[in-house]
Amino acid sequence: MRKFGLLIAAALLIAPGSAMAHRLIDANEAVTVARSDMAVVPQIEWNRISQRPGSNAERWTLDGELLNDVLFFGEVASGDTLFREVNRREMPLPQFASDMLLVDLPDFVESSLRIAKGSSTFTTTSVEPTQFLGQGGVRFEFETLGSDDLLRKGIAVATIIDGELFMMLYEAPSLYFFDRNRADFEQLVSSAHLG
Amino acid sequence: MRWLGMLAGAMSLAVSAIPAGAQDNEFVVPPYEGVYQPLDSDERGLWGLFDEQERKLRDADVVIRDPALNDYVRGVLCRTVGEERCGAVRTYIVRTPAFNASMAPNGTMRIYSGLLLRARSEAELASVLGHEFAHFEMRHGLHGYRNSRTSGDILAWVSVLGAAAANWGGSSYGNNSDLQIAIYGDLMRYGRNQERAADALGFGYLAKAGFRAGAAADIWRAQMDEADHTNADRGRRSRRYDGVAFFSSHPTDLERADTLSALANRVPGGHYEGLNQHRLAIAPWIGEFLKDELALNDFGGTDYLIGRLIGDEPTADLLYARGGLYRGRGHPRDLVNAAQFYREALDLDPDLHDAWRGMGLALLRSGEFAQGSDALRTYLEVAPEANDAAMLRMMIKE
Repeated sequence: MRKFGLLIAAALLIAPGSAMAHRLIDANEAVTVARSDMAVVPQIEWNRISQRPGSNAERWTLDGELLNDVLFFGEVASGDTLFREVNRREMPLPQFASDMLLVDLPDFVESSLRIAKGSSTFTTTSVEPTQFLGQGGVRFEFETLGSDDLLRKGIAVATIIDGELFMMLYEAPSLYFFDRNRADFEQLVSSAHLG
Repeated sequence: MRWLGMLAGAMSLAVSAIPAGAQDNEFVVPPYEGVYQPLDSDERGLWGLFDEQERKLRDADVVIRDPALNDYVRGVLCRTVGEERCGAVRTYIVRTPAFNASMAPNGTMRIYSGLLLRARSEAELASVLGHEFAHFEMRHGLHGYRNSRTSGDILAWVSVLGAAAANWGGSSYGNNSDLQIAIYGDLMRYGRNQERAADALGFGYLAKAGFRAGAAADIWRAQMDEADHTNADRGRRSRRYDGVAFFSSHPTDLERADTLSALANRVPGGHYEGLNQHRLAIAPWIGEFLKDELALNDFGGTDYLIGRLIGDEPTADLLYARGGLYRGRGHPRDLVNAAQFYREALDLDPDLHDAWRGMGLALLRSGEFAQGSDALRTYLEVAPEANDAAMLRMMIKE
């Protein structure tokens, strides 16, 4: 029966946890994110989800992460993963490498999202140079089909400073939600600075 | 176990005894009994459940609707089991990079795109589809359901675990277990004897349709080899020689491979392989399917898979994917190899413009700035509208 016991334990682990506690992020106050020197000044109130998606990551939302998911990644060093491992044995996440090119980041993010969030498809629709945190960076947009069979759009803005990755990522259903809060995300991006 | 799913299975407490056919007529395909309708309340309930799942599956965006690809897959199934049996099946191609096909008792067949990619020929695809159809024809799903019903809420546990497996471990999209089971299929567990019976009947279809029977053993061994390569690359031991666990429903992988080989040797006739037909049929999709595999971060397994598909006949698509795989891992030696794979891909197909981009980026990352910039310049000349053109122009300071 030991195996069966393990099975039940596994099933309990997989079962959705209780409602996650959130913390309100006040508007118009600088707040550091993702355990790093990166700070943003939101113009509207956001909710920070208390469970960190990764050790160098932080997740904000307005209506719940399924409807608008803002992820911050700060000081991700060589060998780090973007997200917490979901199944290290069978599906280990890709690791960041400090010699990655900015233009390699969409593929790295695709692989991370597919494994960590269970995306079924992922298409990068544009990749542009940009300024982020006062540095040359990359901005890319994508479309992804989640494991809930809902089409979402996303934007990521990233740069690599001294071999460490800084990134902000926004993902929301392409129907209504993506466009509704796109400007709020862009405002967060433009307010981002190193602390 | 990989034949049916990704989750190590210990679910099937019930092993139904289906006697294997007698030795002299072991591969005879019995007359088809026609479309089956549920008889008692157990079956009607089960049918209702699977009908509901099929409705959701039919509307899911992750199902590939390309008519040509669907016609091809259906054609292989119909050729394998015959037009009469084929009429009882609706086939759905689900875009998921895993080796799997399954069939629900109501006639819903799910074929994962990862199976289409891994099959090297029509015969290999036919052997998997035939095996799954054999489970359906012998109504193994129903036997399992009846037995599990008597042992508490096992089915509920299967649902929970099945959803988790289908979800690729990610839980970020919330609790959609109903939808996920509808799309990816319940992980039906069959007993060891049921697997053996389905193997025998599956070979019966192959023999009758004239497919090369050895293909079944080939694709099964390839799955074991792929898993070995994944494990070796991740520094783990192979599991193919693992013993029979008490709860294990499938025969061990090695036993299965040996059984398939032995059976294949006894199956009469049949030489049709359909290598080129399969390649042609999946050609419009192979780039996408390979991209899905690359995102899995499984260097060992994917490298083996690409190597097996290449065989003696490299194609530009496969070389391009291999370049992407090596460039993605990004060790200094990988970048050198990647540039070479892209070069070979361009030799085979000069119109595969993306290979210039891959080569340029691989060279840039390995410090070959001049050569890398040249390759990217060539790329930008042939693909000025590329979605990352502005980024690349900035990188080469144009």
